[in-house]
Amino acid sequence: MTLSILFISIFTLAACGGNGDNDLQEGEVALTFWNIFTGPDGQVMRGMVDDFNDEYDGEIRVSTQTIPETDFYDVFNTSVPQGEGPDIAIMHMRRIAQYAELGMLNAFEDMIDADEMGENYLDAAWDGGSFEGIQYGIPLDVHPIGLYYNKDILDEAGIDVPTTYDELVAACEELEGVVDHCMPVSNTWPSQNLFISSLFQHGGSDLDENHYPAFNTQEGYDALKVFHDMVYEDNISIPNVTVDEDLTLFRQGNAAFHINGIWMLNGIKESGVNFGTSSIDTLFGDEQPAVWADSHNFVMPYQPGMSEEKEEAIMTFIEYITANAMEWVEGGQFPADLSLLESEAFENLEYHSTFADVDAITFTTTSPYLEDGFEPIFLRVTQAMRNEDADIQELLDDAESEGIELVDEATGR
Amino acid sequence: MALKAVEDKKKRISFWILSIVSIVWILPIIWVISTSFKTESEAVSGGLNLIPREFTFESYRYIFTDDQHNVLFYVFNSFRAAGLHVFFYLIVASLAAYAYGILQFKGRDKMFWMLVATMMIPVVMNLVPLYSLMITFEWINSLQALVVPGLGGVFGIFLLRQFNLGIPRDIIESAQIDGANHFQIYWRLILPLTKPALVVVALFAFMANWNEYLWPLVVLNDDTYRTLPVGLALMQGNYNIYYSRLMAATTVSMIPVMAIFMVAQRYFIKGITMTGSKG
Amino acid sequence: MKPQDAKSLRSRLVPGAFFLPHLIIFSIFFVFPFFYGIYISFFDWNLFNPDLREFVGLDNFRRILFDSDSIYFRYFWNGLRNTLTFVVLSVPPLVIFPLIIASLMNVEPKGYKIFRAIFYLPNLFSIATLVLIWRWVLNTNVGALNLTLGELGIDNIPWLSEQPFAWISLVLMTVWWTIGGNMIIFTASLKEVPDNLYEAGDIDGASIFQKMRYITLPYIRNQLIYITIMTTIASFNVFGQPQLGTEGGPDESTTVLMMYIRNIAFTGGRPNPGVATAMAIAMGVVIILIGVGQAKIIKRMGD
Repeated sequence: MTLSILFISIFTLAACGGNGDNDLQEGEVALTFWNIFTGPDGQVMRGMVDDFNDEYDGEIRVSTQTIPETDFYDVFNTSVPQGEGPDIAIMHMRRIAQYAELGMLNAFEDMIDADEMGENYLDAAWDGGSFEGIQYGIPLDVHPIGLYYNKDILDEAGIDVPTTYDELVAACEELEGVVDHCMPVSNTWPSQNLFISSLFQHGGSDLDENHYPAFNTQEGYDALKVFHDMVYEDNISIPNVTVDEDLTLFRQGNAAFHINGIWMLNGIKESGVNFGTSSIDTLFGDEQPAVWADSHNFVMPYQPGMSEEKEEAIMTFIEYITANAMEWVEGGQFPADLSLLESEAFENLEYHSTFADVDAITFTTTSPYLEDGFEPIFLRVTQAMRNEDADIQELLDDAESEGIELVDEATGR
Repeated sequence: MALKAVEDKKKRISFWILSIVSIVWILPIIWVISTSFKTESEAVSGGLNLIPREFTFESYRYIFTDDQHNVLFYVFNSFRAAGLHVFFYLIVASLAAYAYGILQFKGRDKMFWMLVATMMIPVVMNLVPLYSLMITFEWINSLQALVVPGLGGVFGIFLLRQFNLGIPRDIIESAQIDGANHFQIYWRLILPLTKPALVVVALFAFMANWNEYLWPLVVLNDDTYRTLPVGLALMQGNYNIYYSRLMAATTVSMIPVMAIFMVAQRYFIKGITMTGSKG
Repeated sequence: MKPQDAKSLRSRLVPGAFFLPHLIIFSIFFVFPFFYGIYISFFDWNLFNPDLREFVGLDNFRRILFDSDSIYFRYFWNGLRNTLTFVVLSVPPLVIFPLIIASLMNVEPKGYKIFRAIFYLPNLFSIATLVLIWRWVLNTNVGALNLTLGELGIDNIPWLSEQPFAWISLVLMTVWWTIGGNMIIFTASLKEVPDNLYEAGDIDGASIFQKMRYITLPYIRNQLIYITIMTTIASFNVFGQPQLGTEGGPDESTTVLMMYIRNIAFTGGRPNPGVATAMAIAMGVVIILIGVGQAKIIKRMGD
C-alpha cells in the first residue's frame, strides 16, 4: 500500500509542467497547423515553427498538433467534415486530388497567382498539387527513393555502384561470398514505390485519362517481371523478406544494397555503416529515367468562411517555412523550393546530391481515383515476389479487373 | 497428516510446471527491458544476448529529457483519466449487476441478454457519431471525453452479474428478513462478497482506458490531457524505429500499471461466505 | 396511497434505481452510435458529405452476402472465413490454458503471486507494442526465435509470411497477450469453490479430471460462460495482430473481416461506410448465433 502511494506521489510531483500554450496577444492571428511529423522530424519542424512565431511575434501565432502518419487520415476524416479541422495541414501530394474532389480542401486559388508562384517550385511537385486547374497544395518537400550502398563491401569486392539492372545482376554475382545478402527487397513496403519506379522506367503508366488502370500492358508486364526475377532468377534478393528486414540487414552490414526513401537517411547514418547513395533512375528499365517520389504539401482543409487576415497569415507561414526548409531537408528530404534545390548548400549535402537525379523524379498521376485504380497492383507485386510460379500476366489481369471495379464503384456515385 | 502430504505434493508439482512455463512466458518481456538498456546500434543488431554488451541509460535519458514530450506527465494524465473512469465504472456497473443478478423483476433476463447482445455487434462507425456528440456537449479536448463515453460498457456488468448469480439466495433472504433494504444489501453484503470480481473489473476497465489510442488521438487537440499511448506514438518517428528508446518508453509505461496489479492481487482472497455457510 | 400500493410501487422502482445510471449513459454513448451504424447500412453513405447520401435499402447486404461478382462479396467472405479460422484456432487455448494455469496456482505453491504477475504482465502492453515485440522475435532472418532454432540446426521458418506459420504466430501472440485476463477471472472464480469439497475428493481418491469435472466446473460455470462468450467476441473482433503483424498476408489469407470493415468504413481511400456497417451487422449476427449456442452448451454441461 505504501509503495503505491509513493508511486502516485512521485508521479504527481513529476507531472508538474505540461506544455501550455501562451495566450494570444492583441491583434494576433491564431493559426492551427496539423502535421504528421512525429519523433525527431517533429523536433525539426517544431523548431521552424517556433522560429516563425518568434519572427512574427504579435502578428501571427501558429500552434501545432502532430498526428502519427498512420492515423492522420482517420483523424482528418473524423474532424474535418464536422468543421473541427485545422487552418493548415500537411498532406501527401498523391492524396490531394481525392480530397479536393470530395470538397474537403479549400483552394489557394484566390490567395495566390498560381502560375507565378509555381515558378518557385519544382514543376512536377507544383503540378501534383493542382486538381482540375485549381491549386490546392503548396509543396514543402519532395521525397524520392534511392539506393543506399555499403562502401566497404563494394570496395572489398572491387565493384562500382550499379546503375542499370544488368549491372546490378553482375554486381550480385561478384558479391557472392563477400556478403550474405546482395540487395534484399521487402515484398511489402516499400516495394510499391520500387515497382512504380520500374513501371515508369519501362515506359508504362499507372492510370489512363478515364482513371482506369493502365498498367496491364507489355511495359507493365516487363516492369512486374523484374520483381519476380530479382528473387527467383537473378539472385538479387532472397525470398520472403518482410518489411524492415531489408533495412535491418543493411544496417547490420549484412547487405550490400538497400533501396529506401531519403527519409531513412538518418536512420542509416546512425547504424554506423560506411555508406553512399546513388540514383535508381535507370535501375529497373531503360525506356525512361524515373524515380518515384511523393511530396508533403501544405493544404487548407475545408473550413467554412475564412477571414482574409487568416488567409494572408497562412500564406506568410507557408512561404516562410518552404523558404527556410534547409534544416528540414537535412533531416532527410529534398526541397521543393527551387531556390533551395539549386543552392550550393544543397549541392554540398553529402548524401543528397547523389541520392536521386532530380530531373528523373516522377510522381504518380494526379487523379482522385489513384488509390482505387492503381493500388490493387501492389498486392500482386508482393505475390510476384513470393511465388516462384507466379503467372505475371494473371497477376496483371487480376489487378486490372479489381482496379476497374473499384474505380467504377467510386465514380458511380 | 496424509492430507497435508497431498497438499504439499500438489504445491510442488504445480511449482515446477509453473516455473518452466513462466520462464518461457517472460522471455519477451526480459528482452524488452534488456533492449531498453542497450545502445541503439546493439538493439538493431538483434543478437540473442539478453544481457546488453554495453549497458547504457541513454535511451531513458532521451525519453525523460525530451523537451517536447514529458513522459511522466503523460503517465499522470493516463492515470487520472483511467482512475476516474474506473471509479465511476465500478459504481455504475455494480449497481446494474445487482439489478440483473440479484433483483427479480419482469423482463430482467431478457433485458440483460439484450445488453450482452449489443457487445456482439461491432460498432465500427462509432468514431463519427461520438465525435459529433463531443462537439455538441463541448467536450472536445476535455477530461470528460476520456472518462465518460466508456462508462456505458457492458462487460463489467456481465462479469459481476455472473458472480452475483453464485451468491446463495438464502443469504439475501435472511438479510431482507432482518429488515435490510436493497441498497443496504448491495452495499454491505454483495459488494464485499464479490470483491475479487470487482477488482478484476477495475483492472480490466483501467487497462482498457489506459491503452486507448485512437479516441484520445481524435478527441484531444493539445497536450493538456494527453495520455501515454498517444504521447509515446508522437515520440517515435514515422519510419525510423529506434528500438532501444521504444523499449525504454514501453518499460516506463509498464511500471505504474504493474504496481496497480500487485496491489490488486491482495484482493484475490477466498470468498468469505463460501467456506463458512456450506456444510 | 395505500401501504401495499406504495410498497409495490417502490419495488417496481428499485430495479430502475439500480440499472438506470448505466442505461442512461449507455443510451447516449452507445445506443446512439449503434443505431447510427444500422441506419447507415441502408444507405450509400458519403462520409464527407452526409447530405449526399442515397438510400439503397438492403442493397449493401445483398452485395456483400450474395452478389458474387461484387468485390465486396469477395472481401466479406474472405474476411469471414479468415476470422472464423482465427476464432476456432484461438478460443480453445484462450479458455483452457488459463484455466489450467489458474488451477495450478490455486493450490498456492511457493511464489504463486509472482507467477500470477508474470502471466498477467503481457496484458499490459498496447497492441502496437505487442506487435512490435513479436515481429521482432518472429522475424525470419534476424528474429530471436529463428536464431535460437538455428542453433538447434533448424532452418529459418517464415513465421509471419507463410502459412500455416502465419496463423500459428497470430494465435501465439494473442495467447501470450491476453491469457492474463482470463486467468485472473478464473482465479477469482476458483476462490468460490469450497475447499472441503476438494479435500473430500482427495480422500475418495478422485483423479484430477474427475475433480475438475464434478467439483470445479459446476462452480465456475457462470464465469465460464462469461469467458467463453467474451473471448469469442474478442477473437471475432481481432484486428491489430493481423493488421500490423502479418499485414493480412500471405496473399490475404490472414486478412480478417474487421480489417476489411475498418478499411472500407474509414481509412481506405474510398470510404463506404454503408457497406462497412452492413458487414459489421452481418458479423454481429454470426457472433450472436455462436454466442447463444455456446451459452446453451455450457449451461447443459453443468447440469
